[in-house]
Amino acid sequence: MKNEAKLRVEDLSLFFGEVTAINRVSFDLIGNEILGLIGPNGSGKSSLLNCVNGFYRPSSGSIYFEEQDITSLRPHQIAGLGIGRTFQGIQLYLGISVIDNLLAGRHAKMKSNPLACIFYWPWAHREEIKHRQVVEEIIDFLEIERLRKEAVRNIGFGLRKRVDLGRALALDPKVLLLDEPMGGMNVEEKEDMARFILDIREARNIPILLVEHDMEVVMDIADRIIVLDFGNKIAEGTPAEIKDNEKVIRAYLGTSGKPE
Amino acid sequence: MKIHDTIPKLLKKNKDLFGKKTAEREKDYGVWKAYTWEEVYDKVKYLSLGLFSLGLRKGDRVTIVGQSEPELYWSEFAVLCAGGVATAAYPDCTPQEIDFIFSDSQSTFAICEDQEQIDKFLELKPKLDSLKKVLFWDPKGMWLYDEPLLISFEDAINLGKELDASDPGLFDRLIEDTNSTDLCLIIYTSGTTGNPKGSMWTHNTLLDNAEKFSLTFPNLIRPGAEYLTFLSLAWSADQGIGVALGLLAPLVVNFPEEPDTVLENIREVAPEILFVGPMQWEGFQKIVESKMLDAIWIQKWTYRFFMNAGYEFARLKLQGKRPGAGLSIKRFLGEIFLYRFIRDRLGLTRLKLAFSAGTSVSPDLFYFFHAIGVELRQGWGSTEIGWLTMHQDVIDPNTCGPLFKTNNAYGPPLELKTTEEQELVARGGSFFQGYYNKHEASAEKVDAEGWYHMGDAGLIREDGHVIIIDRLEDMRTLQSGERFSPQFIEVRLRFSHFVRGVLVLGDESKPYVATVVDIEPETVGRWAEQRRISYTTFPELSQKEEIRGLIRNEIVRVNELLPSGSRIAKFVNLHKPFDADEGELTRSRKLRRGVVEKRYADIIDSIYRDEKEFVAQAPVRYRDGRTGVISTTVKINDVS
Repeated sequence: MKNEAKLRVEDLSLFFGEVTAINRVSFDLIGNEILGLIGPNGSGKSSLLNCVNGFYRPSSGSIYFEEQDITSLRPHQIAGLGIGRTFQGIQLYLGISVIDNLLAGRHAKMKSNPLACIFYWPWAHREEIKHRQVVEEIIDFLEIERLRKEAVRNIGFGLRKRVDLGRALALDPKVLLLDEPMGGMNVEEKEDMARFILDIREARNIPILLVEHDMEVVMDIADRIIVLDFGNKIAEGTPAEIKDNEKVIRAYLGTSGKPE
Repeated sequence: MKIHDTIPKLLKKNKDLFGKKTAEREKDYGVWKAYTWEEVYDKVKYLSLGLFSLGLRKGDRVTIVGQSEPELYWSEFAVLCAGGVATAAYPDCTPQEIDFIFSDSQSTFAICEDQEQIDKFLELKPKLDSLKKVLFWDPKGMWLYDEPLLISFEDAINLGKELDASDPGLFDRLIEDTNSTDLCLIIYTSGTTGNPKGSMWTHNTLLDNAEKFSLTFPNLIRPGAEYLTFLSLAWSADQGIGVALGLLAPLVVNFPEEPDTVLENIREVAPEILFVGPMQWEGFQKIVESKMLDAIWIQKWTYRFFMNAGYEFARLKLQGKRPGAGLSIKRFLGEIFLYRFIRDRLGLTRLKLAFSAGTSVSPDLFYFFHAIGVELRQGWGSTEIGWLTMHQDVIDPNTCGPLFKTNNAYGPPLELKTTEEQELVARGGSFFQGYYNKHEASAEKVDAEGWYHMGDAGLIREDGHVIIIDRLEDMRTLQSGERFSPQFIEVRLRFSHFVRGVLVLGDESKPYVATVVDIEPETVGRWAEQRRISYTTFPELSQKEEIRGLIRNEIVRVNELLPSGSRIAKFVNLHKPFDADEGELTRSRKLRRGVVEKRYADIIDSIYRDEKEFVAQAPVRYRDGRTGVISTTVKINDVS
């Protein structure tokens, strides 16, 4: 079982001074599963993602990616290994076009040095064509042809989320971390996004860690779910198991004020 | 003489003649990709043999569902080459509609674009016993589908290649085996009343419709002309142009990337022939007008100045009058400073043949395009009988133009006349081939003298231009037995800037047509101000003598389009606007005829009692509880 895990989080804790953001959380991300990570506001979901992709250095515990310890690596090194992520508050370049944003997502894969790019040597030219091809496939996949040359500033929030997902895909990730991909979307946009997430798993055969507020969506598309509350993992299991879990119900209804 | 007698033979001839020249172009992954005639022929050949090897035989029906992409055309060609019959469904059809088309046409194969369409067939699978295989060309989203019914284009093409290797002459024999009178398409009517009916088209029908264009507009359609299609093949209009004229001219058929990138793609292609519906033509106009909202003052001024000149010029020209020297100079300068830039922004720089069909286009839209130098035309026809008329030398926004020229090889020249019920009937050309499996319904449409009944009421002017009035079932009859269409009059009157709403009156109990007009307060008010006509309220404005004269002129203009027996004889300007809050209009501002006729029954009565005026009284309740009556005198006006 352990060998199958693409991403393994072991006994992870994160403290901000006296505040415990994450308290000894462990889990595996296996095969090509969609693992939902849910919990009330401030339960440590985003902090956990930030630890995985290197924005935060965990206070204790370790993170393994394909058996390699990545706990102390820098964010760009982790991205280079193939962990892609999207952000709750979209992180895109507003002033440039969708296509340039996606190409920026492939930066970690580009080899030509600035000088070669300035003089546009044949190999730099060839490299651009190669990356543009990959990016165009993503545009086709996410059905955003219409927005190709539109500046991100001019497009709506729901579509920006889609572009943000495209940017993460541009990295050819081996693991995808999605931080509230459906936050602030209307029902139709949520349905589209859910379909894209399922399609990504099917087409690329990669595991996805999905942090999401919308319980219904997570219950629908996740294979397994982990529930965090005040930094503690209070439950783990299939959607059906989670639905009937006493602790989870209490955490969400707010009758329990204290972590156990 | 016919140029070639079937679509497959024509395709083969084009491959031999034009081999390396571009036949089709599509935008994919952000790049325009061209296919030569040889490439198209090869795709079609192996796909067709693939279908043959899966069991498709001459006469078998195939349902095709997908967006306008080269594969859609290849599918139809492949089916036709194998001697099959293609029937296309709109990509947004529901599974129930697909079920109807597949079952009614007794199809055995389906060809789909993608997962969306495949899922419809998989849902229907238990019901469709005759379904042998579903081919698809876009595998996206179906990585995990494991369904023996499905086969990708790639696999089908490989089957075709295997078959070709074992029997190299088969494809040529299949093509040779097609005849001009073979059924090759079943095209479904829109079915506004009841279920759709499948009109049968032969190779003759297809080629006849294409030749109507090449014979009528020989100077506008050159071989290799760029055409952009995004209409579905489920619409008969594009079968004649994209498919048949595409082969006959031949055209370079361009396919847009996605339905929502069409306008952008038109700009990239700059087509020479463009056929879109009134909605898309309006879309062009809206783009220009919304861009002008963001322009700086000098641009706005230039735009307004030259567009006014252009509109005026277009209006005079379309009415057959000669514009004066001053206007001609303005128009010339406008071309230098404005029109050509607008055409460039829209991608209409190379446009030679621009036309619309379907619902009627407002004259204003005509003036807009003629003002910027695009000769927009309007055409008319039906699914059953194909194209019938289109504007040729004279373009009159009120008509759909005169009959097309046809090639005698397909049948006698087109003829058109009106029956006593004012129904338009047509004959000639390749003619109506009947509805698939519906002999009775087919027989009903053609009378003893061989005229096909269009179901449209209309007029034929002396110069041969046809004016479509309405669907026959929506016509009303006057006391005199004269038939007229309230909707036709209402639509034409509303084309005026000064008219916001119209109610046209008249039925078996009334001797003449009368109308109640709701004036457009903004434009009428501005018109009055410019002429120093003072008024305080809407009721007062509406009853001013000058305003009644203004509306009378608009009515006279519409009357000119009508036969003398059904012209508007009297009208009133309503003293209040039609109001959605009072239930007189729907929320989308359509008139609720029943409500309005009841509400203004007393005004209507006094119109037909030939009174000169009517005092409308409306009860009002003041805040302190007192009640009063506000009365307005509504003048009843004669038109002539």
